[in-house]
Amino acid sequence: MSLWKRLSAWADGEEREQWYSRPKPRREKPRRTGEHRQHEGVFELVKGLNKEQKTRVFNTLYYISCVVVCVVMMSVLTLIMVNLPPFGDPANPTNNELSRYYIEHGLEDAGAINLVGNMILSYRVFDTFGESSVLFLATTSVMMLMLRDSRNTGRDLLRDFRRENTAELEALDHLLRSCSRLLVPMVFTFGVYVIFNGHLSPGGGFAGGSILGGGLILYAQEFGTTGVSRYFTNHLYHIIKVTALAIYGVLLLYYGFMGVNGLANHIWLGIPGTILSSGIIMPINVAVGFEVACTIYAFYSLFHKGEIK
Amino acid sequence: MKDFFLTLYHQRMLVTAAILFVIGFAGLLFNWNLIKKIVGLNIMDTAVYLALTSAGYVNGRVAPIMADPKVPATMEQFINPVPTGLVLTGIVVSVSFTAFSLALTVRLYRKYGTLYLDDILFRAKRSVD
Repeated sequence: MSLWKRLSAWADGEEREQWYSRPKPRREKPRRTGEHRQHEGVFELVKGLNKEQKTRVFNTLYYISCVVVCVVMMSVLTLIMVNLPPFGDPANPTNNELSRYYIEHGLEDAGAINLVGNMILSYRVFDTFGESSVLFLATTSVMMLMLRDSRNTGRDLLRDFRRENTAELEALDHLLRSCSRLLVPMVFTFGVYVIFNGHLSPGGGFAGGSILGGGLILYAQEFGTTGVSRYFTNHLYHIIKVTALAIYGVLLLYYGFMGVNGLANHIWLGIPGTILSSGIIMPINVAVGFEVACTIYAFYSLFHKGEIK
Repeated sequence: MKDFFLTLYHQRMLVTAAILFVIGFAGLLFNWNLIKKIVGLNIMDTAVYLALTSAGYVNGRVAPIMADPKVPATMEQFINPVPTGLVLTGIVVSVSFTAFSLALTVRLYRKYGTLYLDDILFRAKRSVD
């Protein structure tokens, strides 16, 4: 029996068979011949031991090899890091003509004074569209796994979950409720501020959307399931998510075709430094903000209650 | 030897990133609990973000947000904006990945009643047999 077969059998749990109460039917193993015995090597040492002792030996070997792998990896990585270009040096090869172009021409090309915002939402907007699609796909797959309906959950489990939900509604925490009543309006206002100032200050769609999603979670803690479902239903969630992504895609296609090729377009870059500036960056920030807020709240809601409402 | 430690001090961000990466990797190797494995993966992600952002930092320069739009921006004022955008991509992918793997873990727990990987494998094999 080769080393790999032994290891995989151990990983599959065959060695620990006796720890469980239900006995496993014995299988006939092929008889070993003398040829196999010469190649056994290390396993000669553990031949006389019983299964529990063998498991212990394999555990020890596994941990020792893990420690060796980690130590080797850390030393190799540290050696590589020491030989990389020095930290914070202006002459590093990373500070090349690409970042020079992004910094010096960002304002006239895209119109936002936040140069990182210019870069991710104007020069590299396809990349950010991919990120939004990844978020969309992640919510969709989490929804497939976690939605509690009769197609992917048993009837008894579904009844237990319903009972838990009603019990939770009756036992809302008073301290949390009164604190979140104070905090929720401020959190929402701050999230909207961060989204709409994405081209003027640090922040933007992703950061502001996370803050809005956190506010929604706090609101759900305050008023329970029924409080949020008064205005944020599954239907509205789907509408917002798809519409935000569609607006983003249409803007991206229009600007990606007209703006990049230098054709005449209807995008007004505005006065730099004011709130109405920077062309497509602010609408895209708003779309991304709604998308991210929906995603964050959907994750919470799916893991907590198994449905979005 | 003194030079080596001086270089270690100068590259402290990258060395910290390497150590964090190995801590996360050890979390993957030593834990059989699936939730702890996901936590280890997130620590590895954090190490990659630290390495990327420290690659973009330049001594004495500030974050690339123009204080006055009338003054043209120069390379000598701001740090490199490119790694910052890459880190944003990394964070989004990491969040999506974490949510997806946690959902898979919840389904596994509902089916097999345990979070430990070897027990899950054992029970899955037994149910197949």
